[in-house]
Formats: sequence, C-alpha cells, structure tokens
Amino acid sequence: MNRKKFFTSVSLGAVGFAIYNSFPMKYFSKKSNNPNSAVKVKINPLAVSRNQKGSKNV
Amino acid sequence: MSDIKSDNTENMNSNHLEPNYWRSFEAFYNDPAVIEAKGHEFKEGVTDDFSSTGMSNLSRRKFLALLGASAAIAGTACTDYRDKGEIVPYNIKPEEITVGKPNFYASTCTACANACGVLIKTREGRPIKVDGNPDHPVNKGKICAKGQANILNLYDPERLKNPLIGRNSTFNEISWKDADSDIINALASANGKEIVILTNPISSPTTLKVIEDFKSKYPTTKVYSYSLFNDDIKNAAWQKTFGSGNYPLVKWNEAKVIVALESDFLGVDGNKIENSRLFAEGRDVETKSFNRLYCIDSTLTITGNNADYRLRLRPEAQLEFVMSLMSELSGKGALNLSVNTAGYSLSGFATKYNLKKKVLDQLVKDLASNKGKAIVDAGSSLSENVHIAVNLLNEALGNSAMFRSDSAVTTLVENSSVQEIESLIQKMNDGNVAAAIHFDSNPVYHLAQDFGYKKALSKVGLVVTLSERENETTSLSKYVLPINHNFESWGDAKTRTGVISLQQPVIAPLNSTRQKESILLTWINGKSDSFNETLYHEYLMKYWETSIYPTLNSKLDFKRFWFGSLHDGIVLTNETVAASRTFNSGVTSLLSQSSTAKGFTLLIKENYNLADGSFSHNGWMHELPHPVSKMMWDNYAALSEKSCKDLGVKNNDVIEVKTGSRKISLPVFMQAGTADEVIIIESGFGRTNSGTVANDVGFNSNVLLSKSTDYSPWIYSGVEVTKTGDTYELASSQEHHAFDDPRIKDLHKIRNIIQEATVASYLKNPHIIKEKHHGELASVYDPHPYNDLKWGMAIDLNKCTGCGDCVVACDVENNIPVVGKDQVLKSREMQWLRIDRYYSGTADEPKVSIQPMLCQHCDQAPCENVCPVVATTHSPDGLNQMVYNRCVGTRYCSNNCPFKVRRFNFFNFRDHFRDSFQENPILALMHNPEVTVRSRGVMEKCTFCVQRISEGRADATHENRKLKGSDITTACQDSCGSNAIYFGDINDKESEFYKYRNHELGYYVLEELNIKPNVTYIAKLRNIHSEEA
Repeated sequence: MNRKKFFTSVSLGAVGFAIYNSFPMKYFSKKSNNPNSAVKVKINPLAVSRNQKGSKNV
Repeated sequence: MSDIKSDNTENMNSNHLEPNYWRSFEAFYNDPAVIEAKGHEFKEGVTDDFSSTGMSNLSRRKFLALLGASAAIAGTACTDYRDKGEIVPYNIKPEEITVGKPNFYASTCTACANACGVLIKTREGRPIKVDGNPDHPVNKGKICAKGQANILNLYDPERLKNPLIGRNSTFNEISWKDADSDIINALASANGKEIVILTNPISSPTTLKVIEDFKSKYPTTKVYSYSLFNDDIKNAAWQKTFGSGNYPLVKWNEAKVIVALESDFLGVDGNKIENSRLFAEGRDVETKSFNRLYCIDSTLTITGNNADYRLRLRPEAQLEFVMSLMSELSGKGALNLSVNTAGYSLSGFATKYNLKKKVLDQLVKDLASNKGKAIVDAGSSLSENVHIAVNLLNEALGNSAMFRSDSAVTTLVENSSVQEIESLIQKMNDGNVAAAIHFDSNPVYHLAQDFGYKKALSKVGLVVTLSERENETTSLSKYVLPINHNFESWGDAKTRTGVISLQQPVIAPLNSTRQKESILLTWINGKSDSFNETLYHEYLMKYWETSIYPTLNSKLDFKRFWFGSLHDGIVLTNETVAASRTFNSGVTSLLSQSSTAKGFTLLIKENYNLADGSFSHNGWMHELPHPVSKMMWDNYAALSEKSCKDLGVKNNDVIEVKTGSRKISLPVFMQAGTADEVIIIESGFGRTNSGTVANDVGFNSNVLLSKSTDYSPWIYSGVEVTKTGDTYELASSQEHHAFDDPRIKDLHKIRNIIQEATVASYLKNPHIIKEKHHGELASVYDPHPYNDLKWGMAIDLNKCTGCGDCVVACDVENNIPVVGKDQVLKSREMQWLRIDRYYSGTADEPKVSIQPMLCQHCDQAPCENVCPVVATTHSPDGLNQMVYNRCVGTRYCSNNCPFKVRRFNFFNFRDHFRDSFQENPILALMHNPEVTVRSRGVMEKCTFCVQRISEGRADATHENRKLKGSDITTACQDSCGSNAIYFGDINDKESEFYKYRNHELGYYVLEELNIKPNVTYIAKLRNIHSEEA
C-alpha cells in the first residue's frame, strides 16, 4: 500500500469511527429507559426510621 | 408395574415399622419412566435449547471475518452502551440516611386482613425487605410469604400511574384535578339517590372516621363490606351460642389435644403466623412437651400435613361426626352438659364413612382424659350448625379454658349480608344508585355471578374504582383512580383488643398515585384543588390527638407520643376482653341434621399463595410451590385416587365441574389424602384485565360461587363432573431435584434422609435417633480445624409446618428471579431453598414428612472438588461459597451435589420471563444491593446470607469486638413463624443454637457420604399412642 492510500484509508477510517460512534447506536440508547431517571426515589420526611431492628422507643 | 404395585401394597398393608416413603403417585407405583428420569441430573430435553444441530455450515474463514467485523462494530458503537447511572454522592444528604447502611421503618402490613406489624428495611430510600416487627404482640417479628412478597407489589411496573377515564371501552389519562372535579359534581347531584362505597373489610379506625365524614357530607352514602373468605359463619354461630362477641382466640400453645375439623389454622384460617408460633410452642423437644393434633378434613392442608392422626371426611358429614362424638363422650359420662344425641353413634358413623374406629376411639379417650386442656376447632368454611355443635362440645368438655382472655379479634365494620348485597343490586338495577365507589375492592371478580353485579353496574351513572392496578372491576368503571401502595401510605389498624398498629410511608409515591383516604377527603372538601400530599397525614394525626391519645393517659405530650409510636409501630392500650358469656341452651334446637350428601361435593378453598386473587400479579407467589401439592402457576381440581379411577381421569386430564348452571373446565390433580367424591378447587386464579403476570393463569373458581347455598358459600353438593377429553399440563415441583431414590429402590429409607420416631419411643430412649448414626468415618483428607467461629444451621422438623414463608424470604433477600411456568416444567425454578415433602403410608391416608432443603455447606463439599475454575470454595468460617465471576457454567458442581440444591441460570431469567417483564427499570430498585444479581450461565445456591454475615462482621469490627454467632440471623430464620430455624456458631457453647446443633434428636442428611454437612435436622416425633409405635 502506498503512503497516500494508507493515509486516506486511515483518515476515512477515523471519520467513519467518529460518525459511527456518535450517531447510530446512541440515537437509540437515548430512548431507552434509564433506571435512575425513570423513577425518582424520595423518602418520606415525616416517617420515623430506626437504625436497628430491635429496641422500643416508648 | 402390576407386580411392583402389589409388592408395594403388601408392604404398606403389613405391619412394617419402617414407613414406606413416596413422593408422588408415579413414585408410589414405581413408574419406570419416573425412576429412569431420576437417574439423570438434568431432565431430558433440558439442554435441547442448546443443540448444535441447528448451526449453519459457516466456513471458518467467513466466521472469523464476521467475528472480527462484529468485534470492531461492537467496540466502536457500544463503547458507551452501558448506562452508568447517577452514582454520585448526595448533594444534600438526608439526615437519616448513611450510604451503605439500612434504615428500618415500623409499619403495618396490609397484604391481608390480619394487619401484622412489619419492619421495612430501606437502602438509600428504597424499600428492599420486609420483616415482622419484633415489638408487635401478635406476629412478634415474623411475617408470612404474602407480607414478604408485598415488596414486589410496590415496584410492580404495571401499577396504575395516573387517573384514567373510560370512554367507549377505552381508557385515557386524565388529570387528578379534572377527575376530582367531575366526581365531586356528580356526587353533589346525587338527588337523593344512594351513593355506594363497596369495600373489603376495614381495620383502620381512622379510615372508618373518613368514611363517616364522607357520609356526613353525602348523606345518601351507604357502605357495603365483603370478603371472599371470612369468619362470618363461625362468628354468627358463636353469637347464637353465647349471645355476643366473636369466636375467641385459642391458646394453641396450651392445648394438649387439638381436633381440627376442616380447619386449616396453620394455613388460611385465622392468623397463621401467630397460630404457627403458638402451635410450635406446644411441640418442644427442649421441654419434651408435645401436643397431639387430630385432623378430620376433606383434603390435605398445612394443618393436615402436621397431624398426628388424620381422617378424611367429606365436609357435609362434619355435623354428624360431631354429634356422634358427643354421643360417644356422653355415653362415657365425659360431658358436663346434657346434649341430646339420640340417633347418633360413633361406631355407626365410622362404618358409614369407612373411618378407622381405632383412631376415633383414641380421640374419644384423649378428649375425655384432657377435659379443659383440649380444643375442637371447626374451619370457617363449615356450616353454622357444625360450629354450634363444636361450641357445644367445647363447652360440655370444659374446654373454654383454652380460649384466650388476654386478647380478642375486633371487627370495625361487619360484612354485608347476602340480603344486603341483593338489595344493593336491586337498587342499582332500578336506577336508584347515583354512584358506586369501589374502595380498593374488586367485586366483579369476587362476588358470585348470580348476584348480577356486573350487569347492574351498567345502570349506575358514576362508577369509580380506587385501585393499585387494573382488574376486572376497573374495566367497567368510568373513573379509575390509582392509589398508593401499603409502603407509600399512612394509616392505622386495629384487629385485636389492646393494640393499635401504625402504618407510615417509607417512600414517597413512585407514581402519580394518592392515598385512598385522601381521595375521599378531597371529595369531602368539595374542591378538586384541596388535595395536598399531607392531607391524610394531618387528618390521621388530628384523629389520634383528639380520639385515641386522650384515652391512653400517656405522660408524654402528643408530639413525642406520636413520633415514639411511629418509631415502635404499635400502641398498646389497656383495653380488656369481655370475659362473661352466657351459654344459650336453646341453641341445641339448631342442630338439625342436613340431608346426607350424595354425588360429588365441591369445596372452594382460599389459595395459600394468591389468597382471593390479591396476589395473582405477584410472580414470587405464583412460583412458591403449593405447600401440599407443590404446584406452581396453576390451580386444579384436586381429587382422590378412587374418584379419579371412577371418573376415568388421571393427572392433567381436563374435567368440567358443574353446579347448577355454573360450570368451569380445569385440569385434574390426583391429591393423596383427599376424601372420595370431593373436589377441591382453590381461588385467586383465572384473572382477566389484571396485567402481564396475572392474566390467563389458572382457572377462575369464583364462577362456581352462588349467593344461595345449602351448607356454606364455599361448599356445594350434588356437583356434576364430566371428562372433556382435553388435557392441560400442570407444573409441579414435587419430582424436581429429587435425591432420595435414583434407580435404587427404597434408597431414601436406606439413606435415612427422613428420620422420625414417636414421642413415646423418644421418652423411653432419648438416643433413638443417635443410635442410627455411623460415627466418625475415615477420610482421605485431614479434617480442617475450625477453632474459631464456624457457621451452622439447625432445623427443627417438629416445628416446621412446611408453609414456605422462608422460601419467599430467601427470594426477596437474595434477588431470586421468577422464571415462569415453561421453565418450571423443565425443573429450572431458581429458589435456593425448597420444602421437600414425602408421603408414607397409603394414598388414601398418607402421613406427611416435611424437610426444608438448602445448601448444607458441607465441610468436605463434593461440589468444590469438581469445579474446574475454582468458582466454589470454602471460607475459613465454614461457608461453601460461590464466586460468580469465576463460574463458567460447567454445572459439574450441581451434578456432584448430593442434595441437588444448586441452581443454574439457563437464561438471564429477568430478560427471559414474560418478554423482559423483570427487566423493567423500576424492578431494579427492589434488588438487595448487597447481593449480586446473577446472569445467564452462572451457578448459584444458598449462601447462608453471607451478606448479613459480612455486615455483622463490619459492625463488630467497628465496635471493636468479636463477631458472635447470635449477631446474625438468616432471612429464612427471620421469617419462620414457628421458629423452626436456628443459625449460629457451632463452636459457641453458650448459644441457643448450640443446643439444637448437638441435640440428641439431631441428624445430618446423607452423613454416610462423610461430606460433613453443617445443617442439623431435629428428627420429627409423632405423638401417636405408644401401642401404635
């Protein structure tokens, strides 16, 4: 392979890599459900927790 | 086969002392196909999915080229495919959360009407596990399978997320404001017509107050309450016998003799957690005290499985039986009351129903000699005259001493009578009902079809259903309003005298749902914008402050009292039980004998796992094997062997069951111990419009219910049964993972897997079990010294009732997936703990032996030696461990495990089940973060809850002390209502566990293999009369 053809191939490969990496699969992945964004977990501030299983309070 | 059969029959008829254990009818008759199948580690066809015959003839060169190209594409396109999520520290950390440490919230379980106290474990705000509240006086730290599996209901992806409005059979989302506005306007324009609230039993005093307020705002409101299974007949009989009150609670722990008549008090009758604990207290190998349980019922139940004596009897004959029993006792002068039993004879009864006279004589003898220390209990499904006769018998024997005076069941709202429901439906049909509000109820599925409720609904202008998820009733509603789950709700519950349980939300609502009470409060306020998130919380606090707190004479101010009570989850009051009761002697006139039943009798029973269908969307409950039949994912018509022969049917044949004009077709299951000409069908199946998991699973037994019955709402005689000629495959786990008799006949006996004795023989010779031991066997290995802490487990087979609560506890704790019926049929269920059940004796009168089976964590584990990648190893504290990342899925370990307790992920079951149903992101929130979620190709098994051990060790290190065996409890141990499981350090001589580990009745399964298991089984003692031993 001559020098010119080599650099052309490498350049085209790099451009192809960049486009392929950023477009087709990502397009679908954004539409997929993200476990952390789909549901917001919020504790109820008015509930009373305990750190251990046992022990009565009153 | 006939020769072998006759051998078996001769064997069982002879007076052999050794019981002939068998697991199914196929095994009983030595079906060659079953014996052959047991010789194989994995079922035939189990690896067919992976056959190489379907592979293409791709050339090596092309394959490598494609592989290279694929790898390049995957390497570029998928470099960032995995969503990393937002694993960042809290910006503002909630005060109560320490990352990596759990929080516990005391609350109340609403999975059934018992309203047990629970302790909900959360991690970083996510509820991940439910245990019983140890402070609750009823369930005392234990919770049943439904209570455990309730966590799956919270994260159910198919919960309703927004209010819906139905137009032309389609449902569209609507805003809460618009829905409330429409409904408020409709309620305000009722114009004197009735507004109906149809609800299941209410156990919350504050909910009742909300409904009272609703009735004040909308005066034409009437509340109807129903429950598919209830104690109404039992309580009505009690009131007729003694004038007032409900049937009292029983001191199961003090009763020396218990007679259960069609009563499943260890299963579905009453509070099984409390009953199991008390019953097990009466079977204690430490104090050497044992009660004696007689069961006279139509089919095997959890209670029947644990009986010392069991007789099978069709339900309509129970009155005759009780009267005959009284006649016999009266003849012996054992009754304190004069009861007219003319015309009844126990020996005649025994002959008529082909019952063992010897057992009945023992029963009479036991009742006569244990007056005041025995209890006769009739099941809730029996007719009123049987309950009255039983009340009379207990009174005549002085057994009222066995009724508890410290606590009683309370009822806030009585169930509506049949006449009241009929009247309601008449009003609906006449156009006199302006609105029907289904308050978290599903009457279209539950009510008998001859009420005509479904048709009547179409005549009601406004139909509103408050529900967590779609069901049969929501599909016929105008408005469907999504309500909070138990764990997102405030509330209280009063089911017993002297205790009120509090319910608090441990997580904010995951969807746009509202607390059902605050929906009513919004309508009471009359403004759609009056709702706010704290509406019911403030109402609850206000009600407690004004109505409950003043009655308690607390020395604390209300705020401190309130937060302390929420912390504890319960408030104890000084309420007492009304002690006096007056026996109504005129009640004997109600003991008329019904006509003798002929033909088939149908008994509709509450399913242990799905109850009335309220858990039919829960995969864990579908996959928990039925405690008796081991069936999963279906219901069936249970018939005796003789009935099957008479009908010419076998397992999986479809029959049509017809009573009146109501009929159902479903498969047959030949159930040992079932009375002849009795069909038992369980409820909760055959759902429609109820979601991916529930829909079209099993058969709807409710279509056989009728509002008019001769005996009780659950018993129908004169049923027609016909064979349809179709078949339907049922999935039972009974013959899965069998290790008792591969090819060699009676190997289970030779191997002493089940070891039993009688109480009398044990008291005579305490070493009766130890004498069978092999002693120390020689080994090619030097024994590894375990001088420090070493983990072990002991299971007391006298206390274990085989209910399966521990199986679900293990499922939840260890992220066990649901696999589905198709995989169960291939023996691929994934539970780490199974309850093995063996029969002995005859098919008609089997004795049942129960044995929970899990990884035995053998010191010289055969699974470890064969793993080529050292994925299963032994820890210094005696645990047989799995290293998932190393496992390459050879399955050699499973092949070499003598107990068959290893489970292989043939698929990523989360992806495989119901089109990736379990891959839904919301279900990931349910996972225990301390337990790896396993994927395809990995072997797994019981770890003795190693994550709990690690957590305990970290705590001990933090506190600068040594870890003790008693610091750790396993999930199965925590859930066991009868306290049959003990866990701890086998070297800690001071521990409770040590006593059981070294008990004289203790034995190891397959100890002759010299693999040194670390699970000790305490041999079961049957409390039968010594002359039968």
